[in-house]
Amino acid sequence: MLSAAAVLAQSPPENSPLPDSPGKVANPSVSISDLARSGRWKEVAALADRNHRQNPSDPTALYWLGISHLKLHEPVASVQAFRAAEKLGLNSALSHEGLGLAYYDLNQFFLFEEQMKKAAALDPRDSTPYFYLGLYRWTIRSDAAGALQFFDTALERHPDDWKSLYQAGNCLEQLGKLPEARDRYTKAITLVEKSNDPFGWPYQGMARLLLDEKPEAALDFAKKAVSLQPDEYSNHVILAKAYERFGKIPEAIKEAETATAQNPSDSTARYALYKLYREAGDPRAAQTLKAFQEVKTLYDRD
Amino acid sequence: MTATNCLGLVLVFCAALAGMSARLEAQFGPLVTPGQAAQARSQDELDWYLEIVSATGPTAAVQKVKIFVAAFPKSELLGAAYQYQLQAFEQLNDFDGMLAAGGKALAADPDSLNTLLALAPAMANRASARPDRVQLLSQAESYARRALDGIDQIKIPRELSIEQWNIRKHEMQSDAHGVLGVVAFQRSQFQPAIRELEMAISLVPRPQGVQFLRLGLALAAAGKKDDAEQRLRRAAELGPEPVRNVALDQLKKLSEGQRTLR
Repeated sequence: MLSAAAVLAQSPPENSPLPDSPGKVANPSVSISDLARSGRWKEVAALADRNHRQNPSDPTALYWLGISHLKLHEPVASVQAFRAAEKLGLNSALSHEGLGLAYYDLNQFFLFEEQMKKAAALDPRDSTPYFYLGLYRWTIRSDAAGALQFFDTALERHPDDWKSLYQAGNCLEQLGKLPEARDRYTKAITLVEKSNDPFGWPYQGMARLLLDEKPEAALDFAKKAVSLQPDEYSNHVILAKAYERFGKIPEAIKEAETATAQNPSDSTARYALYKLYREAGDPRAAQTLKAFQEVKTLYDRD
Repeated sequence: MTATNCLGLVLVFCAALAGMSARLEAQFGPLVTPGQAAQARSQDELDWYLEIVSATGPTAAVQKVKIFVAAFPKSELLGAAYQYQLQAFEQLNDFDGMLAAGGKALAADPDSLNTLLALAPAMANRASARPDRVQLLSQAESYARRALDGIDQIKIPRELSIEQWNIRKHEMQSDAHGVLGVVAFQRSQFQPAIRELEMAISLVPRPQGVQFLRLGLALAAAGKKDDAEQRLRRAAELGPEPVRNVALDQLKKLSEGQRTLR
């Protein structure tokens, strides 16, 4: 299960507006927007703080404080800023989304859901709240069916959102609905290829689905996933498995080693590496098995 | 002055030196099971809880916990709030406050290593001056043993590497063995005390002066003058100043041939 913070690592769908305006606010600041667009969040925070001190009754500065603290992984300060803005009358979809994500970062999921529902009510065409609600249902609650409903709702609003398509496919895969999962992954891949976005997840999904049925295709998809997101350890795990199918043990070992180095706390990657070492007669198998057992004992829930 | 009384005085000031073993991040740090995290049921409830989290200074924190508890007596966040209050009382050197807050924190979360390892040393170090000494020592021992059991069984968040965990684990085990050593000493069980205090030192890469001071005192009380002198000299080297002063004073007494602690 992913940690609560994992949702923040997921970008919102592509149609999400940049946080250049929280909605109906007085005196929007262009310079802050520019800083935000270039991701200079410390500067955004400093400027927003200054603006807030100059005009304490303006919720705009507080909104930006909330966003910048959220981006700087300071969720307590983020919640406090968003709440102060809310008490000054700010009530927009973006401000509720921001506050909801800050709650999420504090493991406050009840309040997170409440804020996402408010955001959805204020901007019914926006798919973003549903995307986040879906991620929450899956990553925190392990509720694939519930998550799928949210991703489908997001897709009704934004049919070309490949991230929701991938997530819907993943839920369908978890639910054993493999043809539908494959359909969603295929659609996501078509859109990703049009956009050239470095989003490897649907390729990884396809590789998983095809590993037994069409291992050659699975290998190609796994390679593509790695090429798009080489820092994502699970892509290397799948590629290792695909290589193993073809007896390419040295290549498989290299990928499993990469996966283990990228995510040392993942027992799946460790176990894959152990099996490959054993298959290759590599003396490191024993040590890797020991490491796998340690990782499983420390991190994995029963 | 008896050995245990002498150590008691030293330990009270050692307790003031030690401070909180780790920054408290009750509820909000990385969690193994975020889905089971205590939930605020209203924005106001979380607002008040965040007032505690962001309180500037221990006096303010204590007051904010009181306000929170009065306003939200059934909050799922009460246990975490009491952990913050325990930390604040420790900073205020308010032992009775610590006991009260720690008891409530443990009632909400009986396995909290943060709470067990904050309460146990405080109880062990301050028991000698209290009428409820026997009970405090017994509780300190129980909490330290529960902490040691908990450390062995704990699942850790993936954000924490095995290397980071091993460092933290050994620190916590060292703290717990230190408590068991102090408890044994207070009961005049010098050999177990020496064993536990040596274990506490062996578990951390850079033991503190106060740990050598405790061991030196226990060795002196057991009549092991040479070993005691060695540890007390090490304590004096490591300091800080209050530890150095006590260690040097004890060394002087030993060198004068006094059985200072007997």
